[in-house]
Parts: sequence; structure tokens; C-alpha cells
Amino acid sequence: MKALQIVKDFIKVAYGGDKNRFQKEYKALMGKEYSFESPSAGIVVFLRKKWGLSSDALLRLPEVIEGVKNRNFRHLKNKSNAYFLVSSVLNFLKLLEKEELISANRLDYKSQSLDPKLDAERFIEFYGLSKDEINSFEKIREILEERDIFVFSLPINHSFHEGIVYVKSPVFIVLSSYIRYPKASFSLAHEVGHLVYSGVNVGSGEEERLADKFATHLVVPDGVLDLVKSLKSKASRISYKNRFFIFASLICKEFDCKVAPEVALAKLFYCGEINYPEFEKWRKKLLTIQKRYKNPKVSWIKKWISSLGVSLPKKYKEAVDKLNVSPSRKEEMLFARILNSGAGEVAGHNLH
Amino acid sequence: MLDIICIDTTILVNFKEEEKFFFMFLEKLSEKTKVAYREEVERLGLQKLSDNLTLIDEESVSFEEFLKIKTSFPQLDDGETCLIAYAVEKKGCFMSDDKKARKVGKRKNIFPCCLKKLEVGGTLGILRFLVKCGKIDCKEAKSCCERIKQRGNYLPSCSLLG
Repeated sequence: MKALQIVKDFIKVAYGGDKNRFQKEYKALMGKEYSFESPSAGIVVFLRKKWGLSSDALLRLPEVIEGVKNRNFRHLKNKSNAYFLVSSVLNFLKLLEKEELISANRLDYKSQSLDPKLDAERFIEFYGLSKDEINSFEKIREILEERDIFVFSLPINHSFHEGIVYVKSPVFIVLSSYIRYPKASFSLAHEVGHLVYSGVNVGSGEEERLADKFATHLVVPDGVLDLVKSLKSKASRISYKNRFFIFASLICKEFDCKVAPEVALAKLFYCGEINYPEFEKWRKKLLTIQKRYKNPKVSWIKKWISSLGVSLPKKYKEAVDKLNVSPSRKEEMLFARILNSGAGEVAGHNLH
Repeated sequence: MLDIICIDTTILVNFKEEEKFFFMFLEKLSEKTKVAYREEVERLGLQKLSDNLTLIDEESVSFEEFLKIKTSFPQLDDGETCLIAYAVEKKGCFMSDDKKARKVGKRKNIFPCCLKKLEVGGTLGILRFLVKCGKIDCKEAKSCCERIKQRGNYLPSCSLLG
């Protein structure tokens, strides 16, 4: 029975298969327990109340589970809403594709070397990205969206997933809107890394490492290595207590917060300029100090800790607008409930 | 058959400022159960119109039927899907001003509603029904239709007046 199977998938993804926990939450929200003997569509109301999503989140859930890199349920994190958001996006894109309002595309560059540095350099060459400047989130997104690979930024629980890439057709990327804006370029490039290495037969752990290295070299090309190195040595000359903050400040000011300081640091590590213990020590310090600033007044700190925010691709929004459906359906497809709930207010940068 | 009439929110939105016509319609069908979709009624502030309506949500329909409709007709929103699934399950009829929803209703043989030997499918059908019942005259129906149109609401083309 398809309906019951979808309910079971839902519980597996959202509650790690724990029926009792699901029943407890369902009862708390809906006032009565869910009947597995005669499953009602009440699960749709539950999903809407809990995550602000329509039934589309359930329709392609099995497809998403199959399609994304984490193929086994044991890898899926409890209470992560990522898969519901991704399956909504997939359902909407399939509908637009069926109505011929968008054309699905794939990334034409594939890794041939399994050397992330070389792959990043070839990728930069192939798509005309910059060799001497930071490749920002906007630049990478533009390259993808020109090729009809849509980049969404939605309120995914970012302690579980920063981003998800759907590597089957239609290819798309969903990033967490809660990630910090300076980190967004790396997170997007990381998902691009998964596309580059998707056909390569390596384990999922190895693929993650390859994607991380690829993203670092893509965002911070060799042309800016010397500059990053000099900023690091400038910061190192400051007292131990202040050097990490100064490094963050120098990186943010120099690159207009288009790259996170820890990503610039990773570039130094991957290029053999610093060793692993030093990289780890600096990285941890940088992550700690950025959590201190809750209501900053300094503009670069504001930028440094700002969130990416909710955004939908321009072409996608245009396609939804052209679709001949009721306004309610359009609202669902434009994630209006999520935006109206205030999740969109995390936007530090209004991207569209 | 036809003891349950599922009324889509598009119709309620049209009658939001023209409630007396809608209440006349409901009064004429006092013996029938009139159903609307709770979530949209609450979200769009249509509670005033829903006094004599039974409000339902997805809990009232089987997930199997809901999925069947939603997967076959992905253009429909959850509200329309819920009302159509309810009408199919309870062997009722469905009314809407949304073209897609009307098409689906037709395919499922629940659209339009046959009330007092008259086919009533949406806002214009309701106005026509009231004229035929002698509750209002043609002039009133036409001016109501014009006002709805001016407000930029959801109204099928006037050819439906036929």
C-alpha cells in the first residue's frame, strides 16, 4: 500500500523509525493518535503545522531518499527537515519540467583526475571563473543557474545538513538558509564538488573529503594564496589572544566577507603552508569567536555573522508565475508559509 | 447522492464581500451538508461565511485517496485535493472557480453539482441558481458579478453565465 509506505518513510526519516515518538508528537499537535490501520491524510496537516510544507514534501520522499548521496536511512539524521524540503523542491521542479516551463540540465564538467586541486583549476578554466579573486557565492550560483541547475536556500536544520545536492535529473542544490553568508560560497562549491565526483567510484567519506578540497580550491584560487598567506602572517605577529580575531577581520575586510576565514585557512593547509595541528587550532578558535557576537555594531562583523537567508532561483520563480494553477498552489510552490513564518527574516543578504 | 457539497475556497473568496448572496444560497440548500476547507478559511479570514459550513481538513479523508488525486493532478493545491478526495469518498459533489480543479472534478464525475435540476459549478452558477429560484433578479446578479470582477477576485469568464 503506497500511502502506508509513505507514512513509514516519513517516520523513518523524521523520527529514525521511532513510531512512539511520532505518535507522541502527532497527538500533541493534532489532539489524537495517527491511525495506521486506516491512514488518514492528517499527516499532511501535521507536516504543514510542524514544518510549514504542503503534501509535496511527502510525494517524492522515497525518490529523494534513493537519489541523494546518503542512500541508507541510518545516515539520515532524526528531526532533520532537509529531506522534506528537498522532496518538495523535486516535486515542484518535476511539475515545471512536465509543463515545459523549465528544462532540466546537468553539469557538463566531470572529474577525470580525482585530484581536487587540478579539478578546481580545470573547473575555473572551463566555466570562466576567476583565477585571481575569490569566487563568491553569487558567481558560482550564476554559473550553475545559467545551466538550469537551480540553487535554493531554505531553512534546513543546519546542524545536520548545510546543503544537499540532487544528482539525478533534474539536478538542483538546496542550501541551509541558516549558514553564514561568508560560508555560503564554500557550501555551494562543496555541493558542486559532489556533482563533479558523482560518477566516480569512491566511498561516501572519501567523496566528502574530495568535495571539501575541491570547494576550497574553487572558492580560494591559487591567485589569492599569497595574499591569504600574508594576512595570516600579519595576524600571527599580534598577541596570541587577539590574532584569531584579527585574522578574521583582515580576511573579511580584504574579501568583503565573500569567503569565511576558516575556508581561507583551509586553503593554506591544503597547499602545505600550515600543518594540521595549526589549522585545527586556528579553525576552532575562529568558530568560537564568531559565536560571541550576538548584536554587533561593526559592519564587517555584521556581515561575517549574517545568515544566507531564504532565496529561490529567479528562473524558478518566473516558471511558477507562468504556471496555470490557483494562487494557493503558487504560494505552496514559492514556500510562502515558510517565508511568512519569519524564516525569511534570517536573510542577511537579500539575494533575489 | 449529492447530499454533500464541497465548496472550494475560490468561491468563498468571491463572496467575501457579497455574503448575503452566499447565505441565500446556503439557505436554499439547508437539507444538504456544505463543506469547505478549514485551513484556507482560517488563513484568508473567511470565518464569517463559514457559519453554516462544515469545515474539514486532510484528517477527514483517507491518505490513499488524497495521494491518488495529488499524484495524478499535481497542479492542484492541498485544499482542492482535500475537497475533491472528500467529495469522491462521500459520493458528494464539488464546486470551484479554478479551471484546473473543475477539470479534475469533471474527470472524477463530481463536478458540477446538480441542484434543483440546475448545474452549479462556481460563483456564476450560484448567482444563476439564485435567479432561477427567484431569490434575486438578473440585474442584481449581474451587478454582483461586476463587483466581484472589479475586486479582481477569482471569477471564470462570463460565458459561463450562458
